[in-house]
Amino acid sequence: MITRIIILLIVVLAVAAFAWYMRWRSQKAGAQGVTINHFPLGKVGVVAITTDDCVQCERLQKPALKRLQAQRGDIEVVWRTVDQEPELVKELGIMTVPSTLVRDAHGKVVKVNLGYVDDCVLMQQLSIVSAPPHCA
Amino acid sequence: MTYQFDRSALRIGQISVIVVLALGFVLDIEAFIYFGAYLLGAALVAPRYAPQLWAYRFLVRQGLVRTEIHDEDPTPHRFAQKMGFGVLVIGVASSVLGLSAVAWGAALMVVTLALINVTTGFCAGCFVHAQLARLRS
Repeated sequence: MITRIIILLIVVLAVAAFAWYMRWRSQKAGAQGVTINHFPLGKVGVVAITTDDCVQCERLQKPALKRLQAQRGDIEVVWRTVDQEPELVKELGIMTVPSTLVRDAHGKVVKVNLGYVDDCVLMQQLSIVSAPPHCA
Repeated sequence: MTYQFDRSALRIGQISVIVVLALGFVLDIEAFIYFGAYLLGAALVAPRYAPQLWAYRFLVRQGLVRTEIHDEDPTPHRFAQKMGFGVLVIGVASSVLGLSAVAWGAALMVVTLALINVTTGFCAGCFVHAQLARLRS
């Protein structure tokens, strides 16, 4: 039984290491200052990464970003394909589409979402970098 | 088309499978692999017979767990569940054939991938689903 407990602990530790790595990689974008310039400085917004054949991007992420823009007209939303941004995709470790990058007013990526996220989550992430105009 | 998907129910289901398989592995009782396969199979085919969903509803009623409903397509997650179920069926078959090491290897693979999903949100099955969709198109 001791051997089995040790094997299980190794599995748990390996997963913990992987979880830590994923979080570190996501935070690295902000900490190490990955910057993007898809819209003018001074504006905050979201860069959505897609592919030509991404059904989930069309069916779910695009409506979510439209809802987000309807709620916050001050934010920018830009769509880019993986093929248009090979360097960025590599640098941020983007493994799936849709992915969304939240950018602050200085051009810095502050959050990377791998996979679909709804407008509520994006709204929370954006409120950290910029309060809505009526609250500022 | 809009979809509603409860991530909290999925997470409780994953934790149930992890606990059952990990406990079975530590106690070296292969029946736990069968039960793990039943949990995943029931969630896919007949959710009302899935004990983890009974537990989930109980926890929600007691206020211990909150539902987390998102506008999300459940197809990739269902594919991931099918993948997990498939691996556990291999585990069950191996166990029946007396290949204990293979059976536990399959169970540990499911535990590892479910743990990764619970802790990081990275769904390996969804990733495979996305890659297959790309290849098909």
